[in-house]
Amino acid sequence: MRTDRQTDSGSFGGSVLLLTIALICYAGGIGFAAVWLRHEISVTANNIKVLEQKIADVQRRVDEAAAEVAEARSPENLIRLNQELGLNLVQPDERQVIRITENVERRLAAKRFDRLFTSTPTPPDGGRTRQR
Amino acid sequence: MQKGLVSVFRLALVCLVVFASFGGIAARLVHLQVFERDELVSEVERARKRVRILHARRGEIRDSNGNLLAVSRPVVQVGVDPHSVRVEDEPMLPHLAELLGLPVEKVVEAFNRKTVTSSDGRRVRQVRWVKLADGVSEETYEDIMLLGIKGVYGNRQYRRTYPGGSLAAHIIGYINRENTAVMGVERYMDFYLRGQDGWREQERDGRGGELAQFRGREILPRDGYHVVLSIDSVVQHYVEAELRRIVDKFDPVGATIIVSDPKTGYILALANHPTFDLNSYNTADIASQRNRAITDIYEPGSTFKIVAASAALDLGLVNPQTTFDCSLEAVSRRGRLQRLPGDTHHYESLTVAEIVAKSSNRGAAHLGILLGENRLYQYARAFGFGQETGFAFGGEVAGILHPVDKWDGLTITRLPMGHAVGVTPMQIHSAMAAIANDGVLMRPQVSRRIIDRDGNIVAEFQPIERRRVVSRETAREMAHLLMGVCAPGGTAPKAAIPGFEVAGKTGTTQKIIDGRYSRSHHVGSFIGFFPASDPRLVISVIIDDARLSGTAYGSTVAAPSFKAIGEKLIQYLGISPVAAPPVGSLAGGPDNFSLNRDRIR
Repeated sequence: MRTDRQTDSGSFGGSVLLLTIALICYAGGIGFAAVWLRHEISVTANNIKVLEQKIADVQRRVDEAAAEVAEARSPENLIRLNQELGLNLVQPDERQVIRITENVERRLAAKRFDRLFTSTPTPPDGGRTRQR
Repeated sequence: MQKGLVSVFRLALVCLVVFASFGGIAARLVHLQVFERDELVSEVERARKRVRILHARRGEIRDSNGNLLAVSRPVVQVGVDPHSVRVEDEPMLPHLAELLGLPVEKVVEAFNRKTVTSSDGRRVRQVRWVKLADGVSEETYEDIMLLGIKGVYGNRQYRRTYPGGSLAAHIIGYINRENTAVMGVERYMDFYLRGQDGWREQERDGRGGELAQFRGREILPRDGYHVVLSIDSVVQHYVEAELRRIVDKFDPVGATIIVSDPKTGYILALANHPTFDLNSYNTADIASQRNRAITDIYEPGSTFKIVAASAALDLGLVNPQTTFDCSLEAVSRRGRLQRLPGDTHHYESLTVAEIVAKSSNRGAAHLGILLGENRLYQYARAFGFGQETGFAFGGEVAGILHPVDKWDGLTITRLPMGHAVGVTPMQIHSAMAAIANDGVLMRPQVSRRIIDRDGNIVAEFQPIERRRVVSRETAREMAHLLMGVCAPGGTAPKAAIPGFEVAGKTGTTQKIIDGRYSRSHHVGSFIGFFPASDPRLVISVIIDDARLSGTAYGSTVAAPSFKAIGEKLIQYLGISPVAAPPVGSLAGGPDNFSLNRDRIR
């Protein structure tokens, strides 16, 4: 026959066991949470690393493109293209240049106002002077 | 009473097991953490932790219009881990060799180099990386990756490339294989260009990959700044094209052309012959890498006459109409007969204006005698001869201008015509620019500004005045006299540009060969500027030992190049002709030269 004393100790043991299980579950929960957090940190860190690599890759491609553009725009290359494509582009020389020394804005304004306020048309050349 | 779930004995047993287990773990932890700690920590750190250097990107070098002159280009260093290669990949090796431009045998040998023995022959080490090729482009690397050969991979790195090849080679300089800035802007501006490397503490997994979650402290790299030069690629190209034409026509030993803005001292173009391609600097000889504009000295000849003429005008000893008898072979000086140098033509009386226009040696000697040793020397120093110009690149020499106490009896008549003095092309160019800049000597500069990656200005290099050499009136008077050089009757009508006022001075010097002046080796030069009334450009053309039948006069070999470059730059830079004001009506307030002039008097 079981005594009261035995019954009390069994009840206490059961409580301790339940508490222990609860503690283990609690600690396990914390552990899982910590692991989950660490996992998330790893995933985020790796995502950041991938993004950094992508940025570096884009920068590299930009640098590569800049170097290629610079080579394409070098005077030697442009001259070669001019010859290859038969564009025959040449620099103007002084004989082809007409230098206008007057104030063009004033002349055009005067021409416009003449038409507005007088019936006498201005001469076609606007009275401009040319200097070569 | 409620019945207990377990007996006391069982409970005690469970507790014992639990405590024993924890005890065992604790004991192991103590053993690992205390007794074996140092050894384990060092092993872990050795295997996992490392500090990775994060390289900063080097800044670009740009011309005044933003065109790239030097840029860091990403390339890949391709290698193989011989322990990772698979037998089934072997048929791909010829394709890999073709893409890398290597012999197949070399690739196969790299794939089979799995171990290496130490020099003493006692240790054998596993080889995890054998380099196959350097400088592989991204495009080629992508093709290599498409082959899918296991164990082949690349490390990305930046390599300096120069899109213009030899364009402005002596100005830009280069970076060598060891990433050391060797010369030019690359070296002088290295502090701004190189940036600052960063570092990061990181851990690796068993395969060497980074464990991003364990990144420790890190200092991010700071990329280098961009350097913007005053060099204009188009002007530089015109100059180099003209230089090539000179080389094709005259096959000179050396040649230099400098173009600058006289008002600021900024260099728009500087080219030397011989030159080299910056992208293959390792195949260029040292002589072609020399920036002759600042490292080589020569006797300037008649271009130096601007010193004596300017000094005499500035001190009021003469005016443009003052006449000298240039038929005399000697004059009496300090009780002795002083022999005068000869001229290529016989002249009777010449005015100062004619002495300059006709480049009379005898007339220049008269001016030198009139000035006296001390004043001639002081003006030569004031024009910057015998001292560095401050052109901030390594290797500049000061030239030769002996102090008066070391002059011999002939120097007073030879120095005014540009003998007994050694100058660099940059010095004589700066001296002429001082005349063009109303008498103010500027420091020649190539750097305009430093900008960051966002285009913000970090530093700016303003024009630097070195000193006033002659008064504004004298400089303008001198410019007017130098226009006579390019006029009919002057020594360099071939330099004249129709519709523009061109001022300049020719120079022809016999080279000293075996200690004697040679009759067949000359340095021909022309230094000039335009428009004379409001100078926009100073152009120097100096040709060392042009090969042609007859004497390589500056008027023959250099003046036409001045004109050719000038005509192109008029169109490119939109330079308009300027009407010359009469010399007598020169405006100009008092300047700080009066004190200096009094001192020299």
